[in-house]
Amino acid sequence: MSQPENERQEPGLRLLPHQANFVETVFSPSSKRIILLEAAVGLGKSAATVGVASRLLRERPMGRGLFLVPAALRSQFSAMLRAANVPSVVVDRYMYREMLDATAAREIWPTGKVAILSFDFAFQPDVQDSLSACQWDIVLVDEWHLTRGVRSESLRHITASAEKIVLVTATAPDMELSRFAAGDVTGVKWRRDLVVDASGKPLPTLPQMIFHEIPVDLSAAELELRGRISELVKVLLGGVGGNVWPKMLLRHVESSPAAIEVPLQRIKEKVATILDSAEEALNRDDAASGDIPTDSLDRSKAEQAAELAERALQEIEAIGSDSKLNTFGSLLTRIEQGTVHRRILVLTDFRATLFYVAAEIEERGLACQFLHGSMDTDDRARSFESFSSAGGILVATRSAIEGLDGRGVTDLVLYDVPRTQAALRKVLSRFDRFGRVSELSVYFFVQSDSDDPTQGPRGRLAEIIRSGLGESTPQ
Amino acid sequence: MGASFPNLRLLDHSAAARKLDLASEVFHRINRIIPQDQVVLSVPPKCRVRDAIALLKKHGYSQVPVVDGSEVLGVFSFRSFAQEAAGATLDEWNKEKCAPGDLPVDEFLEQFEFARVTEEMNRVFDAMDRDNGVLVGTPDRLIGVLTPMDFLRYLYQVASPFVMVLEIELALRLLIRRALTDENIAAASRRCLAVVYGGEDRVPTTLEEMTFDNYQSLISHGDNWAQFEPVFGGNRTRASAKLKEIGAIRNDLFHFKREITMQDHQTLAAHRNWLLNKVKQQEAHCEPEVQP
Repeated sequence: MSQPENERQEPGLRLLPHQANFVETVFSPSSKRIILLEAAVGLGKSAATVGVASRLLRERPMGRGLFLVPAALRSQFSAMLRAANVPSVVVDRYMYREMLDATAAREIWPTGKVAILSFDFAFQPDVQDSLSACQWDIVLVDEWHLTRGVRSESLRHITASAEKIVLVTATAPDMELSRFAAGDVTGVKWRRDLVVDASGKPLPTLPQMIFHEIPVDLSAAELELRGRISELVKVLLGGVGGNVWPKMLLRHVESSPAAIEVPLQRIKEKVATILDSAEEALNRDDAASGDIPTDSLDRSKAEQAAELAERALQEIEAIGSDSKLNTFGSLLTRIEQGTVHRRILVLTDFRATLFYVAAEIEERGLACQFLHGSMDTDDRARSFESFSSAGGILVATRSAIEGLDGRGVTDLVLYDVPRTQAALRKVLSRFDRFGRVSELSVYFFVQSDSDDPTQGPRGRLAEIIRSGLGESTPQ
Repeated sequence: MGASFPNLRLLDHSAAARKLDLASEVFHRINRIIPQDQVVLSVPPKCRVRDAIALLKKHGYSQVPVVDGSEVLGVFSFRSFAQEAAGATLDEWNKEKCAPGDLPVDEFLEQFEFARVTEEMNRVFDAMDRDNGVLVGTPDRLIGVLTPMDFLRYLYQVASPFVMVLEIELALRLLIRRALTDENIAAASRRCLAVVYGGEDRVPTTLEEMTFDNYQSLISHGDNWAQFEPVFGGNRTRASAKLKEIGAIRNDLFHFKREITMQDHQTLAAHRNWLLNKVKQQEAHCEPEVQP
């Protein structure tokens, strides 16, 4: 499946040399069955994978390609493949049922197309069995590092009979490639400093990203509210739904009062249901058999949780002023007073915070656009195009910026900071891409009176920033 | 900078993200009603009644398809078992020489209708009424099982956001009237909506004429908040944010822009409860109807 040098560009795609070389490597007879691409964010991995799919279906019009990707990236890959005239289909449960319904044969997966599936869907037992029964020409796994643990075994199962497997990751893999086949891997690494343009010249160095720490002084009432939520988390740990979602409450409360309100109300409802169920069980004849809902908290803990949630809601109601929001407002005014034609993107993890921040911006007499995952694609496009052409302020949720090319953003306000270095890198990769021509100022808030340097937000953030993204500048 | 900045673009803004089967997206067909996470439970024909009933009890089901290889033979259910058991004579039971629970399920089968995932939901109403369930797929490829509860849940999911928005709007009107007299509503409306409507004489002056966005503007306008604060409590930004979020969901819902998600549902429910509390507080205070 090799080609002469002058035919290496895929029709409809403009690949840079490193991307075209990667496509060539995948199809080279001398390459192993598994090709592992490891490259930093922003170097064009997605375009290269589209190049692989394009080449596959050009050489084998009845070939079968499978893209396994994080759920949030399905539509992005679908759009990229469509733009490159590569037939593809996003398969979710509904589509899968229709495919089952429409095909009499056991083989339901289409030929001459790329099927795009999320990891979560592909690894469901019935889907996994169906995928593994199919002879794939290429299985491509984006964000391969997300397939650790049990997923790794599922992936091995699905790819067992694939002719080629392409694993793509931005994170240095410490994963067990041996699960596939020892010695069956061709590795490709891209380094930013070695990437060249079509004429062979090194790509220009990107302007710096400058990090700004913005200290926030929380009021006594706000600190008390956070303490109340910590107390609630301790009560809920190990109870309903495990340990993950109670810990999420801390992220909600650190984000905004708006973000924590809905979860608190949900806790009250859920606990009320648990107490009702426990009451019914106690009143039944079979109470002695211990037939109480298995996911219930201990009754006294459930009551304690409901009380804490109610108190927290009352405290939110009583807090008149939000220190973080006020600090944000001042920051915004300062940025706005800077040079003209700024593109300020405010990023949050929660939709409730998005509307809360937007309300504050409008109260200050400024206009803003929204971008969140629940918006339909046309509205998202309209919102982003307006921001892109006129500048101003865009408030977005983190999940909504997947697939966004934000090289033109001048100021990025991380209203909620990602908790891990990998997550932060992923966010910044949307903005720190080839083609960015101006400096990018990144602002993040730290609790100035946190007395725990390692556990508090300030300690955690500083660590993340220092460990690879450059030093931050306290304001 | 007038022109679009070349380095900003959204990759999936076309119709690309839409599902391929447009009919399935638009019409309430069988496929949409089957729970997304449904895992079809089945038993082999020689499964003992005792074990099948234990399985039904464990999963909270009332019927289970009986499948031999990939072929659906029928359905074993509490009803099919009861009907067969009640119809048998003592002699017939004695001939079996075993307890009813030890018999295989294939002696107690009933036949359900099959529906295709692409069929309209009303196609199966009669079958659902008669059998209490419908199999989805074909006899040699079972895709799902539909029960009346699946219908109920689906229709509730579709209808309940509309009901909640209705409650929210009526609650808002009630609370606005608690804060302002009709005359003050008209005056406040002229003050904060004149720019939007291009002149004071074009502004709607009664709540019934106003849109949801008008309510939000009225309540969160800086000049009006002092009068609304005793009714809505908290601070203006929080109240305004809630109304903004409701308004965004409401617009998507009423303009049929997208499916309402679980998160939307929870948000509407939480904000509806917030307003309900405010209405209850107003009732409890039993204050005079209007302020001067």
